[in-house]
Amino acid sequence: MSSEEESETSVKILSLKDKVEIVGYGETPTSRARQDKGEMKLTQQQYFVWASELAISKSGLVKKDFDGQGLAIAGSAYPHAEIWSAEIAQDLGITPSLLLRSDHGGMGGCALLHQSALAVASGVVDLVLCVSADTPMNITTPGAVRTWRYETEFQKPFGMMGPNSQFAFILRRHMYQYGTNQEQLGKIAITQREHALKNPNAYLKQPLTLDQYLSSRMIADPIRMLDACIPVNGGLAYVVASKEMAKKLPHRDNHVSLLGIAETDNYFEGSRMRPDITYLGIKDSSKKAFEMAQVNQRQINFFQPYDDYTVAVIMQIEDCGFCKKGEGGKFVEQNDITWKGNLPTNTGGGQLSSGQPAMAGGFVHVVESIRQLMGEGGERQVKDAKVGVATGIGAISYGNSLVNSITAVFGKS
Amino acid sequence: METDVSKANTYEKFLPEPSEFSKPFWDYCQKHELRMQFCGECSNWIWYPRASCPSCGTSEKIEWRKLSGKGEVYSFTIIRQVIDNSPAFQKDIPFAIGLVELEEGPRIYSNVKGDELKIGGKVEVYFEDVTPEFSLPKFRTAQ
Repeated sequence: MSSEEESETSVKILSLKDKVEIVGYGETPTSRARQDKGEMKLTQQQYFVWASELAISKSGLVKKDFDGQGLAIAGSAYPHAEIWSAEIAQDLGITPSLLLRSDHGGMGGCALLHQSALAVASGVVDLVLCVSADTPMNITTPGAVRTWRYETEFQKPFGMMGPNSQFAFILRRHMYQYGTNQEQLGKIAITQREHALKNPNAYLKQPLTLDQYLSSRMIADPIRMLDACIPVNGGLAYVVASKEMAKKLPHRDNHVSLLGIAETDNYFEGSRMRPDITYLGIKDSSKKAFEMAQVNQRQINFFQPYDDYTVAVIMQIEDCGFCKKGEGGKFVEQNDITWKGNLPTNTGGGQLSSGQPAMAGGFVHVVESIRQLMGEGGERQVKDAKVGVATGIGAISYGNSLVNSITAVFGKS
Repeated sequence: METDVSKANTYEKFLPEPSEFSKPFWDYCQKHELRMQFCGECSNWIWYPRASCPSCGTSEKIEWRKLSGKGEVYSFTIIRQVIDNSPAFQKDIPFAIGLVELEEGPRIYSNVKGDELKIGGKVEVYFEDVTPEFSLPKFRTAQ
């Protein structure tokens, strides 16, 4: 089916296939600001500027090229600045003509790509700098980060401990409905650690064994410490360009094309009041994104699913259609998901092992996709990578899983 | 109601911070009644409290309707480690939180106690008067 045709829901969607290119990326090293261990401690603004400069120079551009262009930033967990993008523009010394902003949680990295692609494809701007940075390790006041009203009013009085607890409900249900087991979850943690060892910017640098995974402490049973991502400070960025602009740039032979992108927000599987929490809207967004890209699962050379928890990877392997629903655990067990396997998954270590720079975490999967398609994966380079998928999921909701989902399909341009 | 100062001063855990439209829920809890918003337009329950019905969008005909307080465990977790902003829960560890599916439909998070905690296990509500202002709806294994 051509993406120009009507989708099943009879809503015309503009195809963004091959309309824009990603022409550069930037990624700072990660840190937990342990100055006693010689780790760097930088502010959020410093990371914003650092990641931006890396992406701009990688693209063969200079800051002033972004005057009159787009600047897209993802929200930060702290300090919740209400007007933040203008501050970043001042730090960078640019005068944009379009400011885009994401408050989509973990979906932010891909959501800004969606917004930027729309802006560039429509001709409003030729370039968008997408950047996010966050410094959760600099926050010293417990409880400084205020979250959703439902959390303060209807969860914390009962001892809910944030996302770890929320994901425990999802994982328990996945285990109950499908028989997903700890060895399968462990294989994800171990594989992504193996990838982190090959990623100079990753934080966790010790090899991981299944015994170590199985003996890591339970936090919110059945969620173990090693099922969760590790918070780090860091910044990431990428540059979206029109086809015309991309042609003028020095590295024009090594750009990445956006083949398909689609999001599904406030998703519920089944009934709104009683959703099946083992599903994500990725089921819907991936179908649309794959249709737009005109690719199928067999053509995907790598998969960078948003990985705040190990079970999220399993859920997305299912919801992206790499296997049937409920068989994600078995899929992981029976397939090679390393960088040299049949479905290389989170090839840079992902947030589980490379680190999650809080609200910038959704950029990890986009940037690793770009890096792989530019052939710059170093020791973890996926051989002959031509098409890859990144996802974002965000907004853990009361009584549901994460309700914002987005899927992006990339190709070598 | 007379204020029990000693009790109010010793409860260290988080207390709800009700909004204008969620306050009735806590007021009913204080009377040991479990009530949730119900949409008279589309006949769906609304939980947690909202300014309009997520099922049909209306902000009218929303009433507070009583529930039986009976339900079953849809999923649950055992908290084995507190995070740094919740030290008051340290002495309770390990403790259970269930996502309880009430027999009328809505699902609510709350503490669940009892011997056989399992998915599908039958539970019923009880109220814990933690301060003079707040009674928390909690669940225990049904008889």
